[in-house]
Amino acid sequence: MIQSISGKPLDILLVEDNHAHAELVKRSFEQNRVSNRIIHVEDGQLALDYLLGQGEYADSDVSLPHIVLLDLRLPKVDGLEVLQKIKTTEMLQKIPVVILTTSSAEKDVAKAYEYHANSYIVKPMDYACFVSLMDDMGFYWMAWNQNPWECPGNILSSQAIV
Amino acid sequence: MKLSSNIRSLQWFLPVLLAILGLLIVIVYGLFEFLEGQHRLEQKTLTDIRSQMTRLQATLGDSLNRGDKYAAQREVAYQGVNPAINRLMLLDPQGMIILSMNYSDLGQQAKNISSNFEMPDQRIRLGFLLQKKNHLIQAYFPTQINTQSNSIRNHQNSWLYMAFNGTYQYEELLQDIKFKVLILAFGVILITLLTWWILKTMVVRPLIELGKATQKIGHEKQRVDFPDSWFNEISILAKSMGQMTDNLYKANDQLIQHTKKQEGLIQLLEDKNAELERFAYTVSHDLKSPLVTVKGFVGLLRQDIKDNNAVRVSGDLEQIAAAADKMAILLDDLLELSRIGRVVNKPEKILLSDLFAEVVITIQGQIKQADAIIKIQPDMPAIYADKHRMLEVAQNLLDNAIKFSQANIIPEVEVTATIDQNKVVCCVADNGIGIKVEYHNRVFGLFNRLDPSFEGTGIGLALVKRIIEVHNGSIRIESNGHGQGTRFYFTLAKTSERSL
Repeated sequence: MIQSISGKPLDILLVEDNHAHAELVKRSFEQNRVSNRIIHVEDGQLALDYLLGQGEYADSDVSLPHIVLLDLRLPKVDGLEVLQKIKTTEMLQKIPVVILTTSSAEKDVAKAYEYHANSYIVKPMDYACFVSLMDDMGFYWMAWNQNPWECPGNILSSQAIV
Repeated sequence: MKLSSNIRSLQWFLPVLLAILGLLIVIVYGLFEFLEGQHRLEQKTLTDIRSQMTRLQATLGDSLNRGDKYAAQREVAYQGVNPAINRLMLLDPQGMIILSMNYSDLGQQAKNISSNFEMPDQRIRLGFLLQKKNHLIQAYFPTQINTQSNSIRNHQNSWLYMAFNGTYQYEELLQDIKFKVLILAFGVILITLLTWWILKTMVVRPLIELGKATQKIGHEKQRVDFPDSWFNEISILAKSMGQMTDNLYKANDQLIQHTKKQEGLIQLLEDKNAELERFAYTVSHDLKSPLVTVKGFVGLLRQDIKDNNAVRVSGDLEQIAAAADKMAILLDDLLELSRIGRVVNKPEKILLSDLFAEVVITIQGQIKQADAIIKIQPDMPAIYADKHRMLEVAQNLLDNAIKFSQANIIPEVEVTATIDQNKVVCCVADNGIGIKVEYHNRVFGLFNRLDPSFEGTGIGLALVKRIIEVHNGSIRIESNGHGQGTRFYFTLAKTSERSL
């Protein structure tokens, strides 16, 4: 498991309304190097509630996730709206947001980047591809990529892969 | 207004031209009259003098022939010839005065003049000479006098001189001409003024008003009144312009209506296009989603079989089956959606009360299970629509009303209808979980599900909207938010063959 220097566990927030897809993502991570805790929320409103510590998550002491895996078509609040909210909220805007969706529509990709998405990934149909992609993507964002709120230096050397 | 612009106005130009021409004619006439009058005057004077001279000659001749110069003089004095005659003289051929008679002061003047007078040539055939000096007309008349008298023996070719004041006659002539010219000038001025007035009131004013009215056409929408005129041409112009304006307005109105209609159609087309785009997008996304699941779990299944993990294998299979089922339902829904508008049953008169009552029977099981109370207004108006589709609408709306109920509250659904301007507005109100205002525009979207914890593909309201729109109606939602219940209003035309 990839941890921060402070030893705090690095969570992944998975926003996905399709249970099967959530399961698929979780299982893919399980088989790979990234075994961090995955917090799964089913709609856009819950995702915002979790990130902003409001509504259902008002009283629970949740720490901000290391990355957000965000689907686009979500009930209640649309994925793009969630993205926009994250990127315009000072407290949240530094969290990398990876769009993980079945949509490859140009309009969606353009809009996502317009709202400052950090990455846009189309869910591959092929299972093997899906697993390897999850591994690469997870490892890249959790390990290789340096987040602004962490100490400078070689992250890998200061972090333990469990 | 400046003069330069005034003179180019019809009401000024024509009268001024007329006045100038008229006055010119008057002047020419005056000149002609003056010359002609002068000539006439001369002729008359000549005749007068001649007759007078002849008479005088006869009178004088008698006395002179008797050699009585004084008698002649006396006679002349009593002659009282002509009041205009100032002096009368008898001159010998050398110009010496034989006899002289003064009638006024002017006579003295005549004498002075005559002393400088060059005697006219004897040979003058006219036998008469007129000279004018300072309005003094002097006439010399050759006179034959009897030479028997001693004293005036040598005077046979003497001259009778007469001087008289021409001023009186001359002035009379001038007065006459002046009077005539003044009358004429007055007439010209009168005609000019009359022309000016006629032009101003009957031509220029209507023309100016016509211009003003024409200017108005571009700015004002209402009918512009064109002025009438006494003159046919202007009257016809005004009338035809009025007609033209009316036609123009009519054409413009038609154009505006046409454009509006077209804009509406373009909007409709754009809406349809956007809908189609959304539809294609939704379909591709929503059909792809279960495919990802199926392929993913097939991969996981292989893994789990290899690992001999029986629990997971059955779980994987369930996911695959569920995804396949979902896909089948989605495809069915899509097919259903595409049928609306494509497959149209014959519209018939439907009583809304009967429609909802029929649906209540259909979903009896569901109602019982939810323990819901359904109230249907008994005397709802009739509509004219495809009954099969309207049943779907009613069922979907009632379904939703019961399905999205709040926990621990008995679901209550009320169906009412009112007539509003030839339209039937039907309301399906529930006391369910309600929908936040920000989600209102999403509820009718295809496969949009606000709450994933409830069953369904999210096609129900998309279907309802499509059916209502195919019937030229509209549907809207009202809800104040979570826990406030929801009201769906759909509007259709009142029973009429023409509504479809």
